[in-house]
Amino acid sequence: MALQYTQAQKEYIHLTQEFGDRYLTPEIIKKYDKEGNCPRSLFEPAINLGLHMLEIPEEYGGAGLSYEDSALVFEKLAEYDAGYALTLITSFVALRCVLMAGTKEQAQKFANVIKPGHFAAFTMSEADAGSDAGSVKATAVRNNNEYILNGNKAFATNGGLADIFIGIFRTSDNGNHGLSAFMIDKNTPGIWIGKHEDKMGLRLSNTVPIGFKNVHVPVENLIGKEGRGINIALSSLNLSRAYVSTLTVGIMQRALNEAAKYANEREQFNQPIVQFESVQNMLADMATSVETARLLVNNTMKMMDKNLSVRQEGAMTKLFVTDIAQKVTSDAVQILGGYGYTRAYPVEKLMRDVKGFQILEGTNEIQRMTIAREVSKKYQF
Amino acid sequence: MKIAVIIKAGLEHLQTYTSYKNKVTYHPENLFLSTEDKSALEYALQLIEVKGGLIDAYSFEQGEVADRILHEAMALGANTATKIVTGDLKDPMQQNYLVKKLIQYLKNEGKKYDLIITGYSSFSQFAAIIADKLKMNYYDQLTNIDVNFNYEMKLEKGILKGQCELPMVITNLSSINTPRLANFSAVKKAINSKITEVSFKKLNKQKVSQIKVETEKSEKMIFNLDNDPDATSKLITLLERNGIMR
Amino acid sequence: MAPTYYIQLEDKNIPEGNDSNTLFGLKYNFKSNKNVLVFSNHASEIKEKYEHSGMPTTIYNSENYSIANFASVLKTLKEKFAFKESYLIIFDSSNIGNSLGARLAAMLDTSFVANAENIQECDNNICVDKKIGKTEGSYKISLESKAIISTACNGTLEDEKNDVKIINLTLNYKSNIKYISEKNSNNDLAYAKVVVAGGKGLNSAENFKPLQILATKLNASLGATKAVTDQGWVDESKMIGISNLKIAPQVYYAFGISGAVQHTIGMNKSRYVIAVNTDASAPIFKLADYGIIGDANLVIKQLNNLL
Repeated sequence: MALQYTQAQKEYIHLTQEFGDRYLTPEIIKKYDKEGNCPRSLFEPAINLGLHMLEIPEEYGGAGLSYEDSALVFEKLAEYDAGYALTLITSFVALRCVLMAGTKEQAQKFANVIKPGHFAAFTMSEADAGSDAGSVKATAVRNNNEYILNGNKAFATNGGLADIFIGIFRTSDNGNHGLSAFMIDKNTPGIWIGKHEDKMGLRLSNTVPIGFKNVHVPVENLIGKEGRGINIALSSLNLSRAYVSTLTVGIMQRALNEAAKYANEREQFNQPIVQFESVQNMLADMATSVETARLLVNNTMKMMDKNLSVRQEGAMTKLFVTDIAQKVTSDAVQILGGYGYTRAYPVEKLMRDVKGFQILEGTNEIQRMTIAREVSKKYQF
Repeated sequence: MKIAVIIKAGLEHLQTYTSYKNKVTYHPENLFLSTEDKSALEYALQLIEVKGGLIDAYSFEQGEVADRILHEAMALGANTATKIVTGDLKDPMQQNYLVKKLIQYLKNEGKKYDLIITGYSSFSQFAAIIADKLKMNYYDQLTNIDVNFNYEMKLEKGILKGQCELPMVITNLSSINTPRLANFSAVKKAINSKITEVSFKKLNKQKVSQIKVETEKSEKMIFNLDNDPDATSKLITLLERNGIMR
Repeated sequence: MAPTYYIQLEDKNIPEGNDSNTLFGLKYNFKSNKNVLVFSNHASEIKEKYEHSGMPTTIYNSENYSIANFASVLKTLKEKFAFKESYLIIFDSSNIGNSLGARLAAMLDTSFVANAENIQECDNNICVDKKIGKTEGSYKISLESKAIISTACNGTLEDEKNDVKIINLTLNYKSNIKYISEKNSNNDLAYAKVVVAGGKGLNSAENFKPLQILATKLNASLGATKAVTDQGWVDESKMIGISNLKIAPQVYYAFGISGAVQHTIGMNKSRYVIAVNTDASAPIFKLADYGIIGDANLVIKQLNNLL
């Protein structure tokens, strides 16, 4: 392994492995992947372990693990199922907005909701506002000491599972600078959760449209200042970008494990196929991709732990890791051949899961835009 | 209740010992608490939940393995952790000496236990020595035991059932229960907790057994009777030579 | 080399505590003065069995003896060995054997090596190997002049006559430990260390007679495939496979068995598999460590002649 694990990291990863072996068996994952959902009860054991609060600071009741350590935990968890792991880390995306821009009371209130075992969702995207986050149309109109929210959000991860949302709404017509972030309790009247998306992959992750019709939220629920919505969202996304890359590394590692195991067992032309150079080349490339991806994620996590800006590094990590993951998982299916193409074997799911990571948390095209902008600052073009 | 759990690393990894040019290397990187010891600890925790008390965890493993398994034990609920850094408890030739030293240490520290438990392995006979020297009852290879001390020991064709009495020393199999999992906060706390380190006077070299590594080569030999009319007698010779047929 | 003493338990009510394979195999496995000590509650019935091991035997007998009575065995052995200068006491590598061995070693202040292998003479001592769990490592242990081990080996009746002495044991310890047998405990096949099995390739019920003779010669239990028991050639309690018995003997001989999955699931955990079949591509040969491509009935006949 290129990455030199600390002793503590080995212990955290080992606990995650024991958890995954016990609760996320291949049969269970296959079943829910086929159904396209994950019952809340499957998250109970994860909540008992504290996986829903892993990186939340101890003062708010979390385990307070560093980004570096918790990323390794989620990488291991993603080997079992990335959609399941994504559900657990999505609460962080939302919480991070509050931690970075909100008051201590807001952060405490938010943490108190999640602690007993509930989830949070972050909702910004709309039908006409994906990469172009600035064209968010859903409105938040100030009325005395509350805001009234109206509009329809799309592709909200954890939307159907969450008890608390962070939503980005338009408070003024100022384009990008007219957006604000709000903390919204799920039980507020006027919220309806739409139909669960029938996705290609990451099917254990809950993805729904959310409708807001005259939803009243108290003015205390505004996070930061009006007009700061996009900055808050992007600051949080800067961190979570690199974070979801760790899930992709987990998928790649699983793909490598399955492919190597199969190649040793499957015999054609009187020998295990692992003896053939073409298979060895694929495995060599896969292993190199996994190791480099993991190191890149680890380094970005270290920067985040030092509170350094990762606007560029986060985008680069996400771009690099999710792009090479496509080939790694595709090669895994290739090595398993005909059997790999069927649902009886776990590798086709890995290919389906990994495609989603080129799209969510900012498409890779947007990542390139971000990186180019940072590079241009340095080389002045 | 005062309970001591003697914990050990699991021995499932093929590559734990490797050899190169006659030098044997020990690889501790992938060793964690054994499943039997996890069940032992789980039983101790269940007893404490019902009867109250404290659990002390002891390890005779070396280096990073000792710290790791003690962290696991503490994360699960052991109250204290002590590692003994002398000797190899798995070596049958060292067990008498190490147990004698352990008992002396416990006496000096004023530690007296109602129950001493360790997971069963083909090296756990040191538990019998502890029971003999401390005059405690000994129940070994238990396949089942409950908090009321009803136990079962599985033999080849049946089960022995009985009742244990305190004070006792137990070795158990992993079938006695399904151990709980720790949570991350507890692991983090355990990583930062104190482990007491104890060392004894070193055993002299004569009394230490050597470790060797033998990759198990599976021999395969299929004769053809048509080509080789003596196949049957050759087979017999081969089987006798390998101790398979006598 | 120190004199060795092999301990066996013979309880007429409980079919545990003794291993005839090791009993007959010990004589040939290493050189030293060998003795057998038996604890029993029906000495007169088992006397004959122990008259052919080739090792002088003492049977400690009491009507009240039971396998669950560890204390009586340990007390007797402690008294016998407490003042001996050198000895090697051998127990079976079974749960009982390992339990008794550990306890006795603790009482006598010697070491106990469970599941010892490769017992040899090295310099002036006996040394043994002991595997370290499932790793590839093993200890090379040089035993002291007083040592206790447990082991297992293969052997068959060679018919060497030896003395058997019966000593009366006074028991005043009563245990309240109960023994409960398992479902298949009456079926020898389920626990046999060596199994000789026949399949459709033997062609007729008649051909199972020489197979039974071979089984007796090898001190093995007879087994069969479903195809054979369905035909009524062999009793269905002897069927090995997914619908009846799953066994894991040390040695499994498969005669005229093709090795279909329904059968191999019942025996693929055997330590050594020896297969005889006319069909070189039969799946059983994938599992087999040794074998012969040829007519099973012919090979059985040859084996019976040669052994």
